[in-house]
Formats: sequence, C-alpha cells, structure tokens
Amino acid sequence: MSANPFSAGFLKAWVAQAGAFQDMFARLLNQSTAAGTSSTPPLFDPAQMFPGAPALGMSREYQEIAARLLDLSRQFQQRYAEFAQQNATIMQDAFQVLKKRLAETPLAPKTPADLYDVWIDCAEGTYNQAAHSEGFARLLAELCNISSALKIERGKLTEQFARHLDLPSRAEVDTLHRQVRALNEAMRAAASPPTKVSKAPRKPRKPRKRVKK
Amino acid sequence: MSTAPDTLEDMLQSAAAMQESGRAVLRTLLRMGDVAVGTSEKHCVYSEDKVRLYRYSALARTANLKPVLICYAMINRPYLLDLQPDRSFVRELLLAGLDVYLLDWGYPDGADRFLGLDAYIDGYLRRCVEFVLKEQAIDSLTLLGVCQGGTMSLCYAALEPKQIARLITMVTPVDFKTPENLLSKWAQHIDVGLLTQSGNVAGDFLNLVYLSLMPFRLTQQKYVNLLQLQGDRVQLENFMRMEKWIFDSPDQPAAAFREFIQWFFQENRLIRNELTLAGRPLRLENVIAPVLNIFASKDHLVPPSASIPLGAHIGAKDYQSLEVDAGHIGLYVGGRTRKSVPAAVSAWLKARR
Repeated sequence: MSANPFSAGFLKAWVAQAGAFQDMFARLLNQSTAAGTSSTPPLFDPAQMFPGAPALGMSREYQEIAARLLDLSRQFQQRYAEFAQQNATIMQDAFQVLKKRLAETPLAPKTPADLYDVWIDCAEGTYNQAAHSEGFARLLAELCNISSALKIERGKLTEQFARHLDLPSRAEVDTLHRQVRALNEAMRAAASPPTKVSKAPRKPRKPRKRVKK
Repeated sequence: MSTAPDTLEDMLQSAAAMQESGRAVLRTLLRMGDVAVGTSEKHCVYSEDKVRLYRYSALARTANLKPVLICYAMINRPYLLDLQPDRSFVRELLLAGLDVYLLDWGYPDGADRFLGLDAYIDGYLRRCVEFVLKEQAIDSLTLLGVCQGGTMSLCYAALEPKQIARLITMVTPVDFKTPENLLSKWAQHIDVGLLTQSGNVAGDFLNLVYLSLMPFRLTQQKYVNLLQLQGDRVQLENFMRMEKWIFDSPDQPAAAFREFIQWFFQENRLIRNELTLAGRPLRLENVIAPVLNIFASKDHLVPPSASIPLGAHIGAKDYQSLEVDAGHIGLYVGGRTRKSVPAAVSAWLKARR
C-alpha cells in the first residue's frame, strides 16, 4: 500500500463522505418534519447528493432511470418557467396594445362583448407576433423534446414492473407486431399475381473479330 | 375608454342580457343530446385493417364522369366533408351527378405504430385506387386530396400518373417552409424521433398544438360567442357538430408521423425532389394529369403560400388554382363556400370530360 489509511488526506476524504451522509440525514429530518416547506432538494436525489457519481449495486438500472427522470423533470420545470414568463410578457404587451387601441379609437366599445372582441384581437395579434419568433419555436420544441424523453424513461420503469408481474412488455408486443406484419406482407405478396417482366429482345451479338496473330 | 354613466349603464345591461342568453344556451344544450354527423348514405366497399373505403349512394342522374376518390387527412375524421345535410361538400358533389368514394383511415392504434408513409400511400391508398378501378372497369379516376391527404394524393399521382385522370388538391401543403407557416416553424426543432420513440402520437397532443396556433380565439372567444346564441337550437347543433369534429382526432401512427414531419416539414423534400417512396424516387414533375389546386386565403393551418407553389413543380400542362375567401375549415362549411366550392369542383371536372 502506498498510502497510510489514516493519513490526513484519507481522513479528510472520509469526513467529506460522512458529511454527505450527515447531510442526507439532515434532509430526511427536514422533510419529515416540514414536508413541502423546506427549500432543500428532495432526499433521494443522487445527482444532487453525489453529482456525477455512477449508479452502483443491484438496483443500478433503477438508479440510472431515477436520476434521468429527476434531471429531465428539473429541465422541464426550468423551461416551463421560461415559457410561463414568455406568456406573461405576451399578455402584458397585449394589454398595452389594447390600451393604445382604445385611446386611438374615437368610439369606445358599447358592450362588454365589443370590448372583449377588441381584447381578443389585440391578444391574438401580439401572441402571433411572438409565436413566429425563433425563440418561441425553440422553447416550445425544448418542452416537447423533454416531455418525450420523460415519457421514454417512464416507459422503461413500466417495462421493469411489467416483467416482475409477468405481463407482456411493450418490447414483446412490438416484436409480435413486426412478425404479424411481415406475415401479412408475405401473404399479400403470395396472393397477388406475379408481375410479368417483359424483357427486351436481346440484340444479336456481333461476331467476334478474330485477330490473326 | 369613456366611462360616462350612460355607457357604464349600457355595459351593465348588456352583461345582464348575456348572462340570460348564457342560461338559455345551457338549457338548450342540456336537452339536445348527441348530434348526428356524416349523414349521407354510403356503404363500405373495401376494408383492410383500420382503413375503410366507402361509396356514396347517388343523389342525381350520373354526370358520366370518372369516379372521384376522396383522400382525407389522417389527422382528423373525414366526416367534416359531410357534416350535416345542408353543410356537406360530398352531398353537393353527389347532387352534381358525381360518383363519390371516400377513403377513411380510421383510428390507428398501437398495432399501426410501425406503418410508415410507404404503407399508407403505396399500400392502403394504392389498394383503394386499384379497387375502384377494378370495380368500375376503368383505367383511371379523379383523386381529390384534402390537406395532408392532398399531399399524400400528390405523392400517389407522382408514383402512378397513369391511374390518375384528374387531381384536385384542397388546402394542401406543398412548400412546407414558407414564412407564414407557423406550424412549420414550430416543427423545425422538434426531435420527432424522440417524440415517436414511445409509440403513436396522441390526437390530443395535436389538438393542443392546433389550439396553440390561435389560443385566444380557439379556447376563449369561441365559447364566449356561444353564449350569445340565445338558445337557438339549430345554431347550437351546428356548433356542437363542429365541436365534436374538432376534438375527434385519431392518434397518429408513430412511423408515418415521424416521416411526415421529418421529410415534409423539416426537410421539405417534396418540392426539393428528394423524396423516395416505396423504393422509388418521387418527382412532382411526374404529375401530368390536369390539376385543380384549391386554397383558402385565411387558412391559419396551411397558409396560401404553402399551397400556391404547386403549379410550378408539377408536370401538368392543365393547371388551375382557385383561391377561396375562407379559413381552413370554413372552406367546407362556410355560408357561401359550402355551395360555391363543390360547384367549382364539379364545373372544373365537367369542363374536362
């Protein structure tokens, strides 16, 4: 062994690890006493507790899925907050447009329905302008892509549970679908009359020239 | 805004009247029950998996024209074209003496998730076309494609030009990357492989996208306006029919949806002549039959700029476009257009007898 197990470096690393566990227990205590009110992240959040640590042990597959689910959920929340902010800005802008339009129009709307229609025009116009922007399209796509990734991870967990309960998994059903489809296609091909391929008549070969040696 | 007392009083009176009208609407809706849609008589002449091919019963003396096969989009139900007797595109064609077939894609489910556009265009659509040709002992027919169904019809006409005597495209996207196309802008950054990895795309998801194109009008104003109908049963039934149709959205088969978004929306392969279907390169210049291209000037789903370029890319010498002052749906059910559009279609066909 090159290093003394009780060297200062080893002790320091041990204290750091113990500290992490101590932190974990502190969080457990926090969550059980003040569920939902604590600002600390959720307890079983491996990415938060041990950032970058690989999943270990018998349940490593579940840990990986859980870590990805947590990470994706965090990304979704972040993007959704941006989306909500963007929509709030659109609404504020639309109100400004409404105020301006009402100030410019000599005749005020006479009924609530008229006023409402003017508001819808303003809101839709402002929204449309924003919706055509590259930033809006990217944000919407990111929300969609993260949702898709979340659905895939949830599907993996469901597959694991299905296996435990001896239920057919999606993968098994998919395999059967492919086999049935291949059989259908083979049957259709066998049932349909073979297409005649008319060959163009061969051109008569030119006689080879004999080369006199 | 003026806040003079008389105006305020007007507003309060108007609000009270609206409240009373809303009560009348609710009372009528509660008594109404379910609404009937797709009422023209038809019978299924061919079926395969979820797909059904219907033939409508004649309503007038035959005009002796080639039969019309309607290829509707996969993303909504085709009964929009036959919503009710007095708002029926199909019925108007029948009254003009046309022989009308309708291809109904049905409601795809998990068993269809691996079916790509090949299977739908070179498979189901091909077999429906060939069924009609065989049934009528003819060698070509009129193909009428609506929206996405128009794009699919164009693809088929390019693959099998001899089977298509006339081609009619209605609100059909051809150039998927024009500046007015909001749907296309949103589609550009979507990882459609990821979206379809876990199966079919829910119809509700697509509904959400469509509502997001005009959220204030489609999720609020529409229902506020409903309150002003004052319990008019006929108008309320019309509203409920449309409401039923709008949210009757089949799930989209994963593979076909992925290919449609990627190849058409993201890569614009159709007009770039880079599309391959059924192992064959697809060229729009192969579309040689006379073409009538109908588009709507107020279409927020398929803007006119997406449809207009068709004429420049096909090989047909007889090409005509028709701009209609309507929206994507109003084209079929709008006050004037529900008569004028089918009349224009039958007149165009009769002129090319």
